[in-house]
Amino acid sequence: MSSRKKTLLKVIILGDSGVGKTSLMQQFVNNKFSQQYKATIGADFLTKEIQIDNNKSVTLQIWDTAGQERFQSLGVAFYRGADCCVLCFDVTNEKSLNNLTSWKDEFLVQSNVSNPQDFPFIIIGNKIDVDDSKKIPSLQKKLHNITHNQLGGLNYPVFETSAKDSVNVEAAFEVVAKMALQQEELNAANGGDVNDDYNDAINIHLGSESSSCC
Amino acid sequence: MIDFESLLEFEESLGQSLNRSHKLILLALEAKIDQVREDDRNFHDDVDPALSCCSEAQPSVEELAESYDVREDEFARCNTCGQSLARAADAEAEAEAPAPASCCKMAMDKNKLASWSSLDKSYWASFMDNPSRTINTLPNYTELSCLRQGIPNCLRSFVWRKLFLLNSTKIPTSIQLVYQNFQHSYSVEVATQIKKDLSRTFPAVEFFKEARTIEDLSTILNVYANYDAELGYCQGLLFLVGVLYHHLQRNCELTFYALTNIMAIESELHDVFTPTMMSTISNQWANEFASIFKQVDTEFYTHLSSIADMSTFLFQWWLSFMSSHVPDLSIISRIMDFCLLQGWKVGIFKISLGLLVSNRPILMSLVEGDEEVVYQHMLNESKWGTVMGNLEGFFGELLFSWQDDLFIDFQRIESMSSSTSTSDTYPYASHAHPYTLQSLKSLPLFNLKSPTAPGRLRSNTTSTGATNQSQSSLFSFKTSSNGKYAESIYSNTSEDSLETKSFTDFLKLPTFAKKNHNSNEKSSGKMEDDLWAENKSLRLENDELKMMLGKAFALLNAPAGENEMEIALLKGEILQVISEE
Repeated sequence: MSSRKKTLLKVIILGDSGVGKTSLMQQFVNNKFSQQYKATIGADFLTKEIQIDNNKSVTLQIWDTAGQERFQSLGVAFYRGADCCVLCFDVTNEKSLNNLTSWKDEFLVQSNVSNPQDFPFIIIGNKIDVDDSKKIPSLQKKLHNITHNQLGGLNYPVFETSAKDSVNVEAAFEVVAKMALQQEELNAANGGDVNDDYNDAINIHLGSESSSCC
Repeated sequence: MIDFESLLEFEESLGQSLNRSHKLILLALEAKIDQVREDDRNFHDDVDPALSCCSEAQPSVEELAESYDVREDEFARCNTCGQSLARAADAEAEAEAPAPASCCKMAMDKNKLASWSSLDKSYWASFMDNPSRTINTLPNYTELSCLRQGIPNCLRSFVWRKLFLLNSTKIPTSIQLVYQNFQHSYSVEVATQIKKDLSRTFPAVEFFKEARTIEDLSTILNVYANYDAELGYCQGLLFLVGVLYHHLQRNCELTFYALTNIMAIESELHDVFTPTMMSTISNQWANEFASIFKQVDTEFYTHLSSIADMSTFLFQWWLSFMSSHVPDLSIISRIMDFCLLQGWKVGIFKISLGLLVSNRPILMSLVEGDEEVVYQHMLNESKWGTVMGNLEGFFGELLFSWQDDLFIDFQRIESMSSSTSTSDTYPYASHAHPYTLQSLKSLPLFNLKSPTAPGRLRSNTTSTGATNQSQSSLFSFKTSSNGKYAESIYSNTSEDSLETKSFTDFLKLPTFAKKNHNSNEKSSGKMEDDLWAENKSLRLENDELKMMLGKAFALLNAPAGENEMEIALLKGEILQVISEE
């Protein structure tokens, strides 16, 4: 890939309502935090250029989505052409942790990516600045169960962040950028447009071993 | 006192200069009337309409304007500079503070009765007295004063109230009972979601941070979720409900009723917020919108759709009632005024189209690969940039530069070959468009309750009996179960006496008739009357010309090349006035 060509990486942030998706994006892109973010309707979007690896410059296109479950059905419009997906939960909200799997599944259904088995996801647990007493009890164990489960588990990198105090946000997005770049190069190497609709969404959803069967 | 004669004369001259049909406003009104009847019928409200009109003393326009305090209205902003008028009023009150800017002063004066013409006072008095009749008989004036100019801040609360209640003075008992009795057994999930969203819908507005506001809005939304299990609660609703609650002056029951009323009238608007239909309706709307957009400006549409996926931002706009990223609260009030009078789906379609057209120069300069610039711009506040400071141009001109039929008939047009005559323009007062009736029945915009074809009668005094006769078959009522209600507002529409009905009959004016009608039977006393009427009409004409001159002046001051559409429109209007002479 020509280094002069602008590399655009599309990243989708998913997760339950109120886990801090907008805050994470704002902290990463604009280095600011506010209590006054609006509820995201549909989707919002920001971009940031960063250097990764050998000073390679990439532009991250970050899509912040609505957290209420029913908005998932609009995902097709926003997920198209995604290179990486960030699954967010709130470390004080157990339900948001348990919902990660459904966010992932729904994403794969709607985005129609070509390699559902190894599409890059990362997990971000936000709000670690909050008092320990409010956090999910035995979070590490629960998290481990979710991420090390061979059957449909979320075996992805995990970051615990605070968008408020800007802890780990940069680091998380650097990994996001690297994973997204890999995915982008993979797609480029395959040559095909990953967004073609010939894939059967149900096959992808189930993650069948042989994607060529019909 | 309401000066009906002048109102009607002005209405007529407006009608001639604007030359527009008002199908959308009138259809929206009909849908409201039907819904109010439906509520009454379903729940056996024993309200005698004659009594309910007069049982409670209503505040007069003067009283309303006097009791309004701009300092308590965070939504009131200066149309020119966007400055909060509350702050400007504070500055004015304090001798030591710097005086408010002249544009803000002007905006504040709009709320002072002294600055209103007697005609405006008459209009609003008539509106307060009987909103449905006023809208029905004075659609041009309504368009001008409610939509093009925007409802005055000092009257907005009351006008909105009237738009929901129409001629009744209270909300249906049934809705009241629902509201009072459903305040328990909230779904935990819904309640949690609502709580999260309450603080982050209008995060910068003090009003929405107050404990009472949060408490009330939470109750309204939770009760609504109990009442409408199919929809429940959806993010985005708060943009609507919050503004309703603010402008309806914290009246919870009325806000709740307003919400149920809006959702009941527009089934598609309701469905777009339900989990099961959101995606289907959104996509359907996106297709419909695309077909309208394409007709309005094919070149622009083709260009934009080739570089970006419009649904990416359209969904955000629609599901937040256009209010999610708006730089100025007064715009939100204007958006809501607009939709309340014309219908929500139509309203947000028109505003979306207007926003796109306003951003045409920017969007046309972008090329393939600039997708992200498009999204960045259209998803954020910057899309309103060209509208800010020119709200009058946007709401007053641009949004009225398309024929209503475009938004009514679009499904039809889509399936029709281009050779048919759907794109004909319909001169004012000849409202018998051949497709009207069919399109009303299949109307996707309102959930019209079946048998009430519009028996609208706005025939002005000059229209002949013959044309009316031919329309009577088109617009006659099918006798229906709600026939007894049908009489009340559009009385006698299907009768043979149609041609004798005119504006004046509807306003029940004893003697008013246009001067060329009674020219044969002038007595000396009438001569004086005529002279007086002539003077009056000259003055009105003057008013109208002044208005146009004002617009032309504003356009002269605007940077060249940006307002071509408005200029063309204005040219047409002026030409018409000149040719009338």
